[in-house]
Amino acid sequence: MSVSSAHTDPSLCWNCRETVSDADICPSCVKIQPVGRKADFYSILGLPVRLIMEPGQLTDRFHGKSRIFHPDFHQDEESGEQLISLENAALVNQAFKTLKDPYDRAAYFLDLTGPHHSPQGQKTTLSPILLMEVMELKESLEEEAGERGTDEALSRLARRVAEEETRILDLMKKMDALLEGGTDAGQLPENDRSALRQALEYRKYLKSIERDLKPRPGNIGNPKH
Amino acid sequence: MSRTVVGIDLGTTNSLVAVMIDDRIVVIPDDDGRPLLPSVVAFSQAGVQVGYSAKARLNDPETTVVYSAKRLMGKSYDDVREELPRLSYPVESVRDLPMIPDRLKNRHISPPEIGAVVLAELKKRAEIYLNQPIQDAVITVPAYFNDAQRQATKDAGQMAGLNVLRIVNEPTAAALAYGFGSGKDGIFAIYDLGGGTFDFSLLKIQKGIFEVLATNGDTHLGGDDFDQAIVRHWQSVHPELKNSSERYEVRDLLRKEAEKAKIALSTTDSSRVTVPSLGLDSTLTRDILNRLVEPLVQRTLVPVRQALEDAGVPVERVDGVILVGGATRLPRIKEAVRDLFGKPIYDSVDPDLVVAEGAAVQGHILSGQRKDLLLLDVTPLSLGIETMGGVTSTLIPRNTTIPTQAKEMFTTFLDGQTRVDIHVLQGERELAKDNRSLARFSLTGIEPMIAGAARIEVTFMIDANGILDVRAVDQRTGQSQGVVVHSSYGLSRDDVRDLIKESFVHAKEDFETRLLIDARTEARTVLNATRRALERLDDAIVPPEERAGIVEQMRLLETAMEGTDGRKVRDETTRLDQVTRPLAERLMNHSVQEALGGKAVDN
Ligand SMILES: Nc1ncnc2c1ncn2[C@@H]1O[C@H](COP(=O)(O)OP(=O)(O)OP(=O)(O)O)[C@@H](O)[C@H]1O
Ligand SMILES: [Mg+2]
Repeated sequence: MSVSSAHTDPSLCWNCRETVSDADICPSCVKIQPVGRKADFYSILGLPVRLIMEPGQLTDRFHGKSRIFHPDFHQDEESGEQLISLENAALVNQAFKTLKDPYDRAAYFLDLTGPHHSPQGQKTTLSPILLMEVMELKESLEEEAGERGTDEALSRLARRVAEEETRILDLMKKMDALLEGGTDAGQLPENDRSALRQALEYRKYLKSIERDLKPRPGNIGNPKH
Repeated sequence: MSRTVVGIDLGTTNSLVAVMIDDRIVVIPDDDGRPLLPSVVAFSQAGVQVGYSAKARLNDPETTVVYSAKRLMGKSYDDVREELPRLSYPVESVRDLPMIPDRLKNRHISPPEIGAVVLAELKKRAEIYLNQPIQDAVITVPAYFNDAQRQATKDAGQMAGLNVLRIVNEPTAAALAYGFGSGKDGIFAIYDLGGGTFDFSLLKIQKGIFEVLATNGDTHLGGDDFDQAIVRHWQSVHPELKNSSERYEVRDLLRKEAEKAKIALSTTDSSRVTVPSLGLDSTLTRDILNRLVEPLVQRTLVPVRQALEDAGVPVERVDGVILVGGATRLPRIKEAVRDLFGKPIYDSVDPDLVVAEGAAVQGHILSGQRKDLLLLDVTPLSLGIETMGGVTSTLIPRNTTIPTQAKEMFTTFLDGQTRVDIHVLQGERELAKDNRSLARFSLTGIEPMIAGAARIEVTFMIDANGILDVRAVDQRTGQSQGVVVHSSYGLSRDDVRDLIKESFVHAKEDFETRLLIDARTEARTVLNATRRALERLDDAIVPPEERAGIVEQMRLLETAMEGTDGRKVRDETTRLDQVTRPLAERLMNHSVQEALGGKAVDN
């Protein structure tokens, strides 16, 4: 995630070499600093590493950072600074997008705080039991949809999704409580972590069944002509 | 010193230019007071004509009259083949691009060059009106325009001698023009039905931030299709019209009559159409018209629903709908929109002007004079690359807020392989062949090594214009890796450079040269002012360290001025400006204190 400044000291301003630590703007020369030097999306938006987040606060941070970095406000700067503005805005947008959705956020949190942190994320596989369960559910829903139309099947599925989401949110709250109590994110109980992972993966399967079942609003996409 | 940035709506049928003057939006009229410039260009022995005078020559056999060129922008010949019969001017395939033969000069004209003629005319209009040279511009495009179409529009601007600061989406521009920034927070929909394109955007407005949640559209749906529907209706009622409408002129005539009737029916209930030469005498009622256009009206609702779904916004949460585009004057459209949303409809700003007005607001923001508003737009189409088996692998999904970037690692799969090809696509389909090919990038000059050992990280960056830029870095060396672009549609960078050089739009003006000249002029002014100031001020005001820093920057600027890179000169000037800023501020305070004579200010 690091921006062009890989081989220079990230705690110094790229322009005047004064100390900036993790400030967005250099206190001495007032230049914007590359946020790519920061470790993760949370710190880019200046938020604590948590699973539950108040949407209003997240949006406020996103808007605030956009007002600092967006290329619209750096049109008159030299090209080097314009590039930083562009990359920063792209990272702020990515950070917001990832943290906005609670389930994306949870998956990101697990990748970030897991023992083998990899930026690409880890491949999760659903346990064979859950996989079996989800396949059976899919078959029965498709059968139901074929016999009595998709409406009922979809609402049965929606209930399953809602159940799963409640479970996920409960797990997230539980883990957040541990974090508030001083537990290090890397030290969260492994069974909670894997339960959350499985639940997220399970929900993803449910959502993909939903997508397949739903009547499409029309031919989306961009046919060639 | 702030610059003037104009906003231009480069429309399929009409174009116009607007600018902010003293916090007021002004649409700049021509000498005769008309705000619109028909997007029509005529080539004849008499030279190039644009606008009303070009339109007037539509039936002159000696003249090539080009209109609706926007439909051809950034497209391949194959893309537009089906539309060509609708046009009354010839279009030929040159290197798979649709080009208009200029019989007089024995050359071909590209669609962006046509756009450039229109833009250059608007530039001139603004320069006369404002009595100052104009370079910086914001140009609008349909939100659903893809990368190639955006790039083609930007090229057109450059060929017209404009510095295109931003490509803005038409629906978002319209929202800016409604001045919703102040206080009116909520979720708004923008329904934009022009002559040839349909756009729909959902926008969340919160304390001056305009955040697009989703956009969708159809680049082949507009008022023109309504006209065609009427023509087909006449043909079915009067079968004899079918034969005669094989001919250009007849088709053109019918189309014009259809448009006239359609427009009349926006205010009356029935309209009689008579064309004696064709034996056409028919009465069209609003009911019949409504029935004819109904399938088209329904077609617009497909993207509307898709955008709502993508944004995860139920229709009840939309607080209002802004109507944009001439075709939304059709009563049936208003009715359909009202039925779907059941919310207030905003149509008070003239739909012909609203897009350019919004572009002027965005220009004002980019000129640095306005900090309260910020537009956060999205990319309308998913961006992906072709992978094994011709499948598209999505890197950036549609409706992602821009600017945005995706990084992807590439390697070689043969021993000694020195080059990797990447095929970039835009669209929502599974298979690469069903999506729009944007470009093929080649990573070249890879050091030969065993298969899989190379690690090249490629960054796909979509900027705030919605235009893609690709950069590659060799992860082992940290060096940037050569990228060669073969754009699939539109002109290559070299083509554009050549066209700018030889462009008839401004034959003697080369953009880069002018940039250099302007930059040098400004640099000279700043240098002189700084030099004079340093001579006058002693060490008490400018400590030696600060003086040394300024002198060093002056030297760097002078060196840059000896070169030919205008951008470098501009950058060094900006830097000089910055190193002298603290001094300037101190001087300002100093003189203010002096002026106040140390006395306390009366309250
Ligand atoms: N009163 C009216 N009733 C119905 N349709 C109208 C009326 N006035 C104009 N139109 C139609 O509006 C269309 C032109 O709209 P507009 O000027 O917004 O398009 P444009 O900006 O040139 O195109 P685009 O935005 O697609 O590039 C034409 O099809 C025209 O017939
Ligand atoms: Mg328009």
